[in-house]
Amino acid sequence: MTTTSATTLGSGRGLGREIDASELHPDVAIRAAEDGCERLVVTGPVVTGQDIDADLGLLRFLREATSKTLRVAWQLAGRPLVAERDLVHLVPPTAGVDSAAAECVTAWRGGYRYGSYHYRWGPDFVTVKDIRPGGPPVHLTIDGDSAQQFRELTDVADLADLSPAATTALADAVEFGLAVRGERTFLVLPWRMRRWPVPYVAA
Amino acid sequence: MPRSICLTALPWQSLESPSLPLGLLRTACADAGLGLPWTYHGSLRWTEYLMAVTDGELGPAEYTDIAENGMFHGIGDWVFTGVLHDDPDFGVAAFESYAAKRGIDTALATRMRGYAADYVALAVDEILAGQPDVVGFSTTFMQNVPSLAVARRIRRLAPDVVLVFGGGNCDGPMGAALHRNYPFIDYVVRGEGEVAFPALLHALNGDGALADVPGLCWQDGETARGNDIQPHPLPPGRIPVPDFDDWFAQLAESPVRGYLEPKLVVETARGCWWGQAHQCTFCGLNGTLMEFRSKSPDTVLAELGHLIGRHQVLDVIAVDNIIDNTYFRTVLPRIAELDWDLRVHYEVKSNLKPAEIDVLRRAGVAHVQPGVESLVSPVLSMMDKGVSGLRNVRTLRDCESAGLTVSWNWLYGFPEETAADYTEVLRQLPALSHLQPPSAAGRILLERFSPYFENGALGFPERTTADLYRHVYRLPEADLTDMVYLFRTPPRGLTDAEAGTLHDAVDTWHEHYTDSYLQRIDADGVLVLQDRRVNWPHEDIVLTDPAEMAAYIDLEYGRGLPALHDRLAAAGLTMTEQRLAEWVDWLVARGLVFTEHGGYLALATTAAPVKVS
Repeated sequence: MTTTSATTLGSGRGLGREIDASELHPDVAIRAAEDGCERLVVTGPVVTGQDIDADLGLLRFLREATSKTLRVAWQLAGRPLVAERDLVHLVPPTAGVDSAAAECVTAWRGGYRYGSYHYRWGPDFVTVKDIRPGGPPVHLTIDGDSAQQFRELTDVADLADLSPAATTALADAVEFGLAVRGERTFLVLPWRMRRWPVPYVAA
Repeated sequence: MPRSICLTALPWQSLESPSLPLGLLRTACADAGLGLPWTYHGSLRWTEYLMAVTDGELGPAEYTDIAENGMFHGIGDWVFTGVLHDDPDFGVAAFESYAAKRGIDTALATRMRGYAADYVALAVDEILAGQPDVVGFSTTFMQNVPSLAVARRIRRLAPDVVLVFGGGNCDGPMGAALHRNYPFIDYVVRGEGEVAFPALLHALNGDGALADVPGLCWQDGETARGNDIQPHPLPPGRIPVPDFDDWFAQLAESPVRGYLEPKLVVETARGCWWGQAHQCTFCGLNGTLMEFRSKSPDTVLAELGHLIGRHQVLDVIAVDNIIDNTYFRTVLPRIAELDWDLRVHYEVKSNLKPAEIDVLRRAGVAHVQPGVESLVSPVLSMMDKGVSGLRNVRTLRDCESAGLTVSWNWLYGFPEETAADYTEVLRQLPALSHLQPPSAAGRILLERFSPYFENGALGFPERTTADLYRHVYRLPEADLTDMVYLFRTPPRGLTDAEAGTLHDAVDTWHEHYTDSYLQRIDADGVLVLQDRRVNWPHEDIVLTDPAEMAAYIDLEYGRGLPALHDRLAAAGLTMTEQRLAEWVDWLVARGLVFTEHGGYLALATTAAPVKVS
């Protein structure tokens, strides 16, 4: 038996894994969670603010990681090309490497609260809860065909892969602040609530 | 002949969920060919009224504060007792004195009380506007005085309307006393209402005799009658599916809607299977109906699907006093397969196994109430809980690993307990800071129907009605004794000073919980105990010796040292008894293992929940 300082395995807790900034794909988060991993440490800063679709890719990874309750240690470079309010429900960066990033990180971390923008599946309906700062609380229920189209929107990333009905639904989702549209891709903002916090009423 | 039947649930019914009794009786009446009763949801209307007259200063949060925290002080009843007694000053001085002794802030309740008379008048106007022939009042806990105040005014303004009371406050002798003390009540239904209430309505229609309505209290000329309560509890197959349509319709139009997330209430079982064999000595919650009955898995799945689909609500409160353990193999896995993102509350026995906790989690159960009550084995024995303190800590640890919210209270004040019983456990409470603390520690009250109440020889021979009733009812002690649920006794067990140590320890536990973690990691062939608890060294303790690793894992089940030594030897792992004892002592001193009465339990969780403060 040996006793080591907390920094030997990193100052975090739980089983951790290092990943490169170029690997930030939703599947990485899914696999890490399946392997029992609780935290990811991203090596090197994640560059944003140059390509909206790249930024949406990062947010898609963070959306999955947040839904899986993965803690992600990552550094932000630049500023993502989406509104600040569309970031704060996702696991925030630990630091910013430039002034624009640092300002963004301060606001992001200040506004972050687990579960502040999430959706839940029921039988032929989906409920959406939005309690992010900067707007009134919103509780939305989507049912019928719209619920199925919402499901398609959460499963797909590329605009080109959408069915005609889902393309129409995406326009509505963007209008209601449920999704962000890029050049070639789009992103449904809320994440699926699979693990409730303690206490369970806090999300 | 009653044609228009109104059912009411007055404050302090939970604001975020419909009244289950009203939902059940609506279906029961409809099934009995009596039509669908209409309802008056007094909790919603009282909150809406408060919001309107205070320009939003009083609303759902203030209502919920009284509803959730006022019961053991009778605060919700006190708000309406001036109206019941036609005396604005009734109970005021008594309540102020009561509150001052206990450090209770009376400002909110006092402000609400100022609006009670006008609200009661409004409620009666709205009820009578529906021209009811019968008004039924469902009353449990603090619904008694609001219900009596409204009923009394209806009697004054509409003498021909038939007034019926039922619910938990009417069980056993309490129902007869209520009928006797408040003659404006025409009938009191005792016991399960699904049979008795429709039978009463049929009798009022001339179809059947009042004397045949099970449990009914009624006036037969000058004679007060109390029919026998139905001898056999309602079979689970005859418990109706509640009809909540009206509540959800009213909520949808209410200004209260924006302040809450509605929750469904379901009932998958009645009674308590543990209490049938070993009723907890302090518990009277099941009243006269302890016999356990549960619905079939198909019925549960069908009802759940029906209610969730109909109301598009994924938050579900199971009101069962204890889950049917067969559901771990039947109902819960089938719910998990549906892949709905539910958030469910269930009450469970505290000896859960990790596999059962995992089944709960996968089914969307996010909140459990395991009846932990204490972590001190001798005291748990006095309660007849059938578990040890070590076993309860194990359940807290495993629920923490699964991310389940655990609600529990730490009860003390048992007749044979001593401060010495608590010493070993209290000394180790700082090591539990990463596990969910009790909501509070509190001295037990004597509850009607509990073994302590029924048998004074168990330790509480002297009793009077609880002090709270002095500021709630204007009745002689003898009448109160028959009518109320809580009783005061001379304190037993821990003195208040001794209990202060427990209270302080629980307060500290609350302060440290959110920032405390102690987690076991299996990585690269070693065990790492990551200690991130407040007031403990933040270290990674790495176990590399195969015997130590195996011993630590085995201690997660809770073992005595001889058994642990034997199990290691059987696995071909070598550790002398002396070395094992020294090593386990070190683990205890380091707060990594909890010990009580010769048993040892590893404390690290296998995962950590997201904690939100």
